[in-house]
Amino acid sequence: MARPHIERYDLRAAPWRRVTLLGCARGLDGQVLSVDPASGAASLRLRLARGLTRPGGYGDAELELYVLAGAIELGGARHGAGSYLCVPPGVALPPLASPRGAELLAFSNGGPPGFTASDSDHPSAARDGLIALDAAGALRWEAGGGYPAARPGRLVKVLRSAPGSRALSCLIALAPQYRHEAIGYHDCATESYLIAGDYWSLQAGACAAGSYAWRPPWVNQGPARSERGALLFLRSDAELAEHLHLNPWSTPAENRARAASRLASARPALCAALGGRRAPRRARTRARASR
Amino acid sequence: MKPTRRPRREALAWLRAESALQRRRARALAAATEALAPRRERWIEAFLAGLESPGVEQEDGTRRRLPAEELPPRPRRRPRVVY
Repeated sequence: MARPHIERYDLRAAPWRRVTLLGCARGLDGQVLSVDPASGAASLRLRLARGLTRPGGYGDAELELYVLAGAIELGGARHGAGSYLCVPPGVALPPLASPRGAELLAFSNGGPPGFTASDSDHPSAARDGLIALDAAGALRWEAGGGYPAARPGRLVKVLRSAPGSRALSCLIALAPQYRHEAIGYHDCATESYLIAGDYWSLQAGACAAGSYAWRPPWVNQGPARSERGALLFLRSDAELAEHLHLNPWSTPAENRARAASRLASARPALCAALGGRRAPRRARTRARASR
Repeated sequence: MKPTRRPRREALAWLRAESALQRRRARALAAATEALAPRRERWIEAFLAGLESPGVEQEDGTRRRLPAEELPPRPRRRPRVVY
């Protein structure tokens, strides 16, 4: 079962509740952004109290962390605002401390968040998958990033492209007076959290910092704009492909059929090999004519 | 240090509780999004008017004005945003 479609969840008014699954009996509060009822995979915003400590240990699920504000210390190493960590399942983190408090985004992939106190990795852990980045200082903004096409006024910092699925975790910066005139959709699920600035889309209207969205594949997104500029954290569950069109009323089924038809036109042999549909005769003729 | 695994049932209880909360929350959020429909109609009108003039930007940076007959037809079904 997938997560429900959320266009705009303004977390400023959402309640905070104690989170004990991550190994802290107290001092850790959270807001659940979304959760997959089948697998338990979850996206959360966490608030670490000043002076919080936790022993070293690992989780059963992969965990991605992004520091929104404040700082955490892992084994004495400081990770301030803008830091990103991806911790594979079973990889033990050193003792955690939050001397002055912190606010994080946390994404538990493949299962619910969990914690097992340990000073060593689980025997099956893949430690070479551990990522720790200072996204604020050490990464450059790029025009294309993980997107298939650059767009004026949009810059990307790729934090992670998952091996195999190429699921993307990235930061997106939109310039002030950003405009995207077309309507887009993806053939994968995406979720985004507006860290700062403002964002408007035809579907959700005006979104303020602290707004969250989870969109299933094929749903329309945009046109969109930002007046003062925006900083977003974006994740996808597969390689991010962008399909653009101009129909504000199209349904996910229509978008999926359109994308399949375009792919069949552009890659007929591949689609045939996959046992997929053939392109419409008109598209096949056009494809041959353009060779 | 000997690993001390937290009970699995705690995670399952958490998941059940959060899934129930999410169902209620998602219904409310979807209703709030769909309630924007009257305003969204105006936004769509402005969007379609913009396709006619000043037009839509092409990949080469030029603008193309769409004639009225190329604009997407309004469907008979009730427009929907949240699926």
